[in-house]
Amino acid sequence: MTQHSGTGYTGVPPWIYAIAAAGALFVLLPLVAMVAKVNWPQFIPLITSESSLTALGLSLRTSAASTALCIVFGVPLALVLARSPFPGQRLLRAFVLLPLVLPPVVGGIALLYTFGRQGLLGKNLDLVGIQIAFSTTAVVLAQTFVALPFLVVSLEGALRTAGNKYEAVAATLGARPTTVLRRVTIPLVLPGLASGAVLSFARSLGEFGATLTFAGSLQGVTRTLPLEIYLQRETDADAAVALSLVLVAVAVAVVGLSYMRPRTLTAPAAATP
Amino acid sequence: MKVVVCAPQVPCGAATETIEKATGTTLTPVSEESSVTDVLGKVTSQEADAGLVYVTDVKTAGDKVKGIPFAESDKAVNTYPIAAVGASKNNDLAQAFIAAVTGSEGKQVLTDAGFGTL
Repeated sequence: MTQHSGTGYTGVPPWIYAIAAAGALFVLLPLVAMVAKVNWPQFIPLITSESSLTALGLSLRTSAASTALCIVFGVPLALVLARSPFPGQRLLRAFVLLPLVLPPVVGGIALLYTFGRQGLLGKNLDLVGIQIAFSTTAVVLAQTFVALPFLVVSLEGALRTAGNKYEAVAATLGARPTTVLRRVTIPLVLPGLASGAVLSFARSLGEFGATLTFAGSLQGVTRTLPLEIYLQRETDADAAVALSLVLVAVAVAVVGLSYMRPRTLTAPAAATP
Repeated sequence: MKVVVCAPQVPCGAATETIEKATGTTLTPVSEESSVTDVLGKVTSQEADAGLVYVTDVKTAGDKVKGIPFAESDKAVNTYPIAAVGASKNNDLAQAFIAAVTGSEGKQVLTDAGFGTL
């Protein structure tokens, strides 16, 4: 994704580096402090306890499901927002992006009044025997709610940057809209879609507030890794720190992956200047 | 029936375990919350049918919940001590506060909130 002008001139005044270093330290120092606090001799037993592994497994499974939902609903949303102007588009974008700035606990309350037993949809779902509260489905819904904007923002940006020249050409050559989408648009924005999906996964993995409010907390069903950390903190600080480190490691791996992906995918295009 | 309790790691969850032992029952909750107010919240929002909370929580919820007293709850009573800091600069004020809380007016306030007083 990085582009070099080739002149060797970076245009960054030296003092900027000092402030940038302070900013980087601000993010890194708390992580270093956490690593320093880890009880290393007990680290492996702490993170491989039954409850920890169950929570990690549940987190990975629900985050994968949430990411899939984000792709299913986020791709059409991003396409609509980026490609076809319609009245109320700005308003729709504002609402879709709302979970980015909303405190997750507010999201949880909103979901409760939608899918809860007494909720807007939940009341009707209850009649046909579908109960969402306290289920793994509730966890997936909470995570999808907070993660969807990440996918939409990434993909909408990619769609706008890519433009629609190739799509127009494909259309004049007789391709139907669905074919254009499948053969031109999606391949063109695949790196953006991939990094959006990875960000959604990472956000799902860290989701806490909405899950706690909406889904409850039960081992193996709704207690994801962040909820397990919050609970362990009550009695076993060492376990909480150890699990936090696991979550950080997974998050770093996931975010690292998202920066690897676009480069490998765009490499063939960059090779032909 | 959906039952919600506190997780064993928090004080109200420890109390829940005491009750289970005292009554010889085993609860199969749909959720183990991190705080007793979360348990109460799940019941007042009607997501859960029942929850195990303190007497005082039932009082604060008012008409939204129906408290069901049971004899074994005697086994899981939390006692809250009151004390002044030994080397306090405001010793007189601290003593006055303790007197107010343990006096008849203070006891009345606590009783109204569902606490028992010694």
